Amino acid sequence: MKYSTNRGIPRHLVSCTVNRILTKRHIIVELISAFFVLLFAYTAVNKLVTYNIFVDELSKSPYLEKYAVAIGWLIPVTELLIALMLVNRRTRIMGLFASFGIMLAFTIYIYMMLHYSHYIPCSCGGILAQMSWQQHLVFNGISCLLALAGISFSIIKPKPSL
Amino acid sequence: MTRRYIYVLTGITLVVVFLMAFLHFNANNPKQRKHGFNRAVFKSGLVKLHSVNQSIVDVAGMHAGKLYLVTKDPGELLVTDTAFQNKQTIQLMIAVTNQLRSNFTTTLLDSFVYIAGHNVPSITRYDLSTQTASEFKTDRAFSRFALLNDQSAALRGFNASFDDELFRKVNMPTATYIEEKDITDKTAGGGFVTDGMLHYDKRTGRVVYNFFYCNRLLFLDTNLNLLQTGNTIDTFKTYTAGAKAVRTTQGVSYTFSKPPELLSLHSCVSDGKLFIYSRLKADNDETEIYKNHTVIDVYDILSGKYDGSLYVPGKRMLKFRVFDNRLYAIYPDALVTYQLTTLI
Repeated sequence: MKYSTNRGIPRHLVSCTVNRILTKRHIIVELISAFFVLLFAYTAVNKLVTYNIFVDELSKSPYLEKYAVAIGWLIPVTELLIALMLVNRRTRIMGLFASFGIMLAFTIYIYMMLHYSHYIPCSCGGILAQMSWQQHLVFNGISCLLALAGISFSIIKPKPSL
Repeated sequence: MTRRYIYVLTGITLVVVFLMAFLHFNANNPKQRKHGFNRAVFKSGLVKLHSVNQSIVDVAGMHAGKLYLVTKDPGELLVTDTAFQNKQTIQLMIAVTNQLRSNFTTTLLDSFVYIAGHNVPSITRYDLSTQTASEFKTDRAFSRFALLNDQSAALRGFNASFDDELFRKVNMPTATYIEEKDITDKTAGGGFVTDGMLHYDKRTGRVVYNFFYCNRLLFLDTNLNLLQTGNTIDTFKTYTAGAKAVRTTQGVSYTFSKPPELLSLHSCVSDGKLFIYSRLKADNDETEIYKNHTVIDVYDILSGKYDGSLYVPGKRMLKFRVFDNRLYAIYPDALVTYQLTTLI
């Protein structure tokens, strides 16, 4: 019984399943990239269309009030650039790293707002405005993990089958 | 190859953490600075009497030894004794609309319940003995309501041009209004900056207003003439909030123009005293005690002077009321009664 793992499933079967997933990894990476392209394109356009409201909301944040105008441009432009990087296969891995970075920044920012800020303004625009800050935190946390999964599936290659 | 990606990932994480730390330490954080005032804590302040696990939004008042509790539904009241032994739900025979539910204040006066629908806008008088209601429609929406007697109320609401707020007294049977005379500062932003809490103290016959964003107190008579001004113990003489009008295709809306610094969360009056739930740590507050208590500063309504402070255990208190020297602390899912042992 020494050769079996995971409640009696033989190790070669587990390895086979992992390999099978890895051979389909490009589909998973495509799906994750598509998700981030849609997310960033939608939120960036929304922020630019409602630029004044977005900057007003940023200027009510105790952390961002001093940099509201600059960040008001910086965030949507960065999001559009990341979306473009994700669309192009040659730059997709860079786009996934950038997605992880920006989603990590958003996640930490929301955590700081919820735990340390003396005032919490309204959240961002569009469909995401329907979410509470707590729901946003969970959404962004999951997005970080998705970006990490995308990076992992992009760089880990399946073992050659015997 | 994989190791290079791990370095990139670690680098990105470190840069993001560094940026967030920079934002955190460069932010204006009132919790981390001294406020330049001290508190005098009452030596023997509170003794816990009773608690009940009950989600309520307010205490409407007391009548014939019974406590009338307000729920999220303006058409429902919970009636109980002061020890919370017997509870009874009363359904009020009134039309509850979403506008009424969105913002309302319920006040008990003898056997009559007054429900102020801030956005309806209306004041409904409900007779508990006959279970009949009469509704008075006010001409403008209002943000604050204080019942003066069975016929009139003090309101803080929009001015005639709907761009700022001021005090008005409404006489409901005659549908007449008395407007304040230059008491409220004229500010941009629909009255956000001068927002506060409005009360009527029966014992002194004074209307009391405490500001959320500055340390001023106003004491008015029932015809809204300014009798006296006062100050809370903190040092915020100028408004800690800024607001502006935003014009959109749907009309004009008002919003803060910078993060407002809320100095107090709630207040109430009882027997000539004003109780203010402060958000500010005094320089002599012990950090550990302050972290685990809600601070209530007490002022005398006639003199406008600070009497002392009470420390209520726990930080999650939403609001409170004081009746007959008892403090009713409202938590998200509980109501706790304390006896005020100091002569307040």
